[in-house]
Amino acid sequence: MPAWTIGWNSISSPGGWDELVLGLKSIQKILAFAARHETLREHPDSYFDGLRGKHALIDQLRLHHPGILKKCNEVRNECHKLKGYIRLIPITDTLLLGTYRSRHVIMDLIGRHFSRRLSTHSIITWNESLRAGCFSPSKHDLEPVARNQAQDDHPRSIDRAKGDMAGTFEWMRAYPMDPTCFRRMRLARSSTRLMLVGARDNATFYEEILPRLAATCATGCQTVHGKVTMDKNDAKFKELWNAFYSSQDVGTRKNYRYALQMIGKKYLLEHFGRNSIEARTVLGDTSSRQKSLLDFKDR
Amino acid sequence: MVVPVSSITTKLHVLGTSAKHDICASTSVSASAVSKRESKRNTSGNPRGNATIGYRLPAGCCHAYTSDGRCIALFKVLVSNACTNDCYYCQNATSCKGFRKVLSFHPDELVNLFMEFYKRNYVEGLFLSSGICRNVDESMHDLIEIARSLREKHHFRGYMHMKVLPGASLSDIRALGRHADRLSLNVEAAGKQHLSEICSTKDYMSDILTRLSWMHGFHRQDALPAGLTTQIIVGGNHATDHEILQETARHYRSFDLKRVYFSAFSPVTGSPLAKEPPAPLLREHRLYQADWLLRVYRFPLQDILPGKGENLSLAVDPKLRYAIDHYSERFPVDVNECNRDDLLRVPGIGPKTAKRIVTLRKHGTPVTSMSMLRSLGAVTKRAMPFIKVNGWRHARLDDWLEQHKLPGRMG
Repeated sequence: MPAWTIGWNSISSPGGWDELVLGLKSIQKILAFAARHETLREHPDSYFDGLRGKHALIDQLRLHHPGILKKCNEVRNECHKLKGYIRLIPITDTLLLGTYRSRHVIMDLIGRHFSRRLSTHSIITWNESLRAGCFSPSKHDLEPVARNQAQDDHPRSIDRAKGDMAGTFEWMRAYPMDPTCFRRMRLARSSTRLMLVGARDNATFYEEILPRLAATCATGCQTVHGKVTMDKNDAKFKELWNAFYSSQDVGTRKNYRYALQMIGKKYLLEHFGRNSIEARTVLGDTSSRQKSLLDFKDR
Repeated sequence: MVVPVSSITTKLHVLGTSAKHDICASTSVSASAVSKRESKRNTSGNPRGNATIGYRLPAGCCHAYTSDGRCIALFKVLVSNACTNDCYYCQNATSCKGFRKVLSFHPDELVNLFMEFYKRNYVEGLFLSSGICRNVDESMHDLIEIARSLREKHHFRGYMHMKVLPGASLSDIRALGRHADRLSLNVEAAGKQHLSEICSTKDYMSDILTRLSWMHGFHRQDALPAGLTTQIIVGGNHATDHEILQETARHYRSFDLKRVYFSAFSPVTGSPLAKEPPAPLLREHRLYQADWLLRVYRFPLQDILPGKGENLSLAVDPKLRYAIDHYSERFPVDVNECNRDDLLRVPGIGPKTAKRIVTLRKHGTPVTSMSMLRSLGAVTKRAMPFIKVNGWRHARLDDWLEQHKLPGRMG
């Protein structure tokens, strides 16, 4: 049976969350949190981005616990890259889908970014590697949600939901929650416009959850055999983008070492694939020439 | 009427190619400046309330990289590549003999295309410029129409960088500035004489400096969130780095510019300057380093200015050059005793590291070792001969210069 869960803006973990967010005043609390969770990778490391504003704390951390700061930077870097690299595909005029892969638990940060960027659209962002994602209804779609908003993600609160969203909550309840997944969701941060979505596998998401989410918030959603069909114009826009992308290259400024530094070979291949324009352009003929072409080499 | 994709593809490629030499490094916008401007204006005309598209990121976001490693964040195109100006370095100049297609975007076409790209997260904002089709006013009106349509019809609240065309009227500059986050006008050369070497139709004083002063006046009244910028071509004329830096500092003072961008000249086939040698990219890089010292490190101009009629050293960056030349007067400095300004003079120590050292000192944590300094962000390999830690200097300057094969002190 597919196992997945949906959590609302009800993050009240008894563990590190409250302590960390509410008690950022002292460094001891941060360090205590870090000490309890030996492997931060299993937890939403993104908590630490709140540290950015606290210079004195950051300086102390940099000196005494550089590992924590390193981890924060890893999370921030991955999040920053994904904000630029995720491409959204329209399902309907007002519903967009973006899929990606990430090493860290940053679904909420990605979801929040896109919900702020396009508040007139409902957006589903799905992390294929962690099999979890975010659904952010547009301001228009949010109205029925806000009216009947559940206080927390406990099943009892779902009973309180009425109106347009009642049906949604019913099918949400029809599936049992996977405890592992739930723990992760509970730790993840959320905002009022984010619904966290999880699934045991990607197929479950694409075949069951996505059509239901699409049906909940959008009219005019096309389905074929229960599967959501993507925008047919997407290929056209990829072609247009490639025309624009290829126009921006200044041949006389080629600098492979700099290019590799900026993009990151591993990420480039993972994300775009070896045969993509991006990968081919940057990596295509660099192997032998890379050593001889140094930064800003005087011509 | 449905426009075939192939024609838009051609337009995108041609007009994108024409705009690629314009520089627009950052999409960063001051949040306070945005709120200040929006509070001044009546935004109640938006029927969707707060439901808008786009928001300005606090830091630049790259959506792709070109093969030279430059980031593509903005949708950077010209509205039209037809131009009545005769800039000898430009592929759109009237005297350019190379074959080119003359194309233009209709404002609605460009707006719809941009909104689709933005919605699909291909770009972070818009950078728009134009050639001068028939007259400046007509081309400016196209730019204004696009900006207005995006802000008022599509409720776009993302980043917009608009180019002001040389010779534009005051009312058009104001109209464009009301919608844009950043305005820019390219100075192109370091002075009237050098502009005449690369362009026969633009007047340095009336077409450029007067317009920049108008833009500055508008910016003071109704703050542009991302300020004003300009661009200078390095090479292609006889301007030296001495003159370029002097002019740069003057523009910062006079027009309160956010940035002055430098663009190394590269010859375009068919243009009158096609046979001129390209300017070294390293020269452009050194100018950016000097500009950084002026703006961020607050170095006085005379400290980094090369001799009259000279260029900056290509072998050594300007900060290291300064430190080597003034070694006997200022160095080595004790990192636990000197102030922030003195720390900023040390090669390998930037504003962030200097701030960390000073903050930790206030909290009673002095720097006690080179590894501690390294963990605070300093490049100790570069800083070594110029600092003392625990009263000790870890390298002699002459040995260090010899080890790194760098030129010695002047004179």
